[in-house]
Amino acid sequence: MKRILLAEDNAHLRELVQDYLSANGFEVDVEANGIAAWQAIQTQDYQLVLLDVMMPGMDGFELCRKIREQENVPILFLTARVQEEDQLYGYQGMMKITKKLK
Amino acid sequence: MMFLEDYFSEQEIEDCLAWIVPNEQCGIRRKFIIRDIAGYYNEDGRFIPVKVIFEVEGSDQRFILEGGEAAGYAFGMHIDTEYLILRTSFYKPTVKSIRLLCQLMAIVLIGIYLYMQKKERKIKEMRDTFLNAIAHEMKTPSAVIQNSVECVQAGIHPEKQEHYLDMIVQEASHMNELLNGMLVYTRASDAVYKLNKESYPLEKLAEQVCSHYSVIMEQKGITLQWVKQDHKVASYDVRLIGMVLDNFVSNAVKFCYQGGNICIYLEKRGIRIFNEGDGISEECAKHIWEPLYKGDASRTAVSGSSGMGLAISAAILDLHKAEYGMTNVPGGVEFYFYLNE
Repeated sequence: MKRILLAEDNAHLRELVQDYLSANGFEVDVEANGIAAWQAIQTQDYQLVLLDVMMPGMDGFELCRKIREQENVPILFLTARVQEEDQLYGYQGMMKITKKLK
Repeated sequence: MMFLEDYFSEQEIEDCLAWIVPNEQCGIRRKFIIRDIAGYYNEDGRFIPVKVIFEVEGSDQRFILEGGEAAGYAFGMHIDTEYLILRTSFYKPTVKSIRLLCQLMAIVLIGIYLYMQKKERKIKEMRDTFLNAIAHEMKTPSAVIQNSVECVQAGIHPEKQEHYLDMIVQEASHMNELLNGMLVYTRASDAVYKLNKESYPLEKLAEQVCSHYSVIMEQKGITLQWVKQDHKVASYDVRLIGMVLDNFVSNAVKFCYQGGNICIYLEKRGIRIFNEGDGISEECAKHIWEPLYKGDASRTAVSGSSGMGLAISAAILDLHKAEYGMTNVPGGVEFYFYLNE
């Protein structure tokens, strides 16, 4: 089964995305902040990482940079915020999806 | 201080203004005060101002304009003036002195124009920042609502349908709370908002506010203490100050440790509300009164705050010209305000 790491600080969104992905056959680990997500990546192999941009402790951009220094796992940013989407264009090879499940 | 009207007829002033400001469709009418001038007469007998120090009514800034040639740029500007107050007086009005006045006014007009431009830019920046923050705040709950609906529609985890609907209700309520907060903030931020002041004991108001939180305090095992000194507070807007107290007390309850203490000090002109708990970081303290600021992740996580409460409180206290703030004190945090006599 494909394993996904989801880092999202909003509890409702975290639960909804987890439910949606798990109902579609993915195994989803969830973390509420960047630091916990970084620790999870150290101990587990993931086929995909979903990152929120604004998170306490370590934001999605910083976490993305750290992951990239270490491995090439695909990373998707989840964002509901227009300005953050603009910033993402500076991230070559990154993809973003808005916080819509479909 | 001398009024221009003391020395010149209305017609003469009109003529001078018409010369400086050909376009009479002017919108800005402000009083300005010249604090100091320095200059010289050139070979043609023309006064060349080198330095003018002036203030614009309503601004706490003092302007210094240097360079007489700059006066020429004022011609054609769409700015009107109400009247001019000069620090120096003219013994006998002459054509030369009128010309001097016109030149000075031209310089001042440039200053006003620059000031207004700067002020408008600042207002635009603030408005954009606020609108951007509102949009951000609204997007997350709207994303939750949309995704919850999609989960229901797609039949994801049918056993959790009720839960998804609860989420929708909660987020809709959160959005409503945000919108209400913004409406109150926008009204209270209006400097011309008319306060409905009346005399009312602050102690009684604080007790009423605290009574709303008695159940939650009991649940958290919080002890509420009162320290009442000889306090006398002049009249204030009871409804608005009630909102400030409600915000301070609700924050104290939210951030107080389980089983901790809240202490309310009623002092001569105001109130201090202490809660046992974590301190607020220096960075957060700088922005804590700004709308939609949710700096300290730990505080946001605890409160699920809209980020509007303290901004509304600040706007209300500013309207009252009150002194207010927060301080980290041993063992916790204190929020306070002191009203004017």
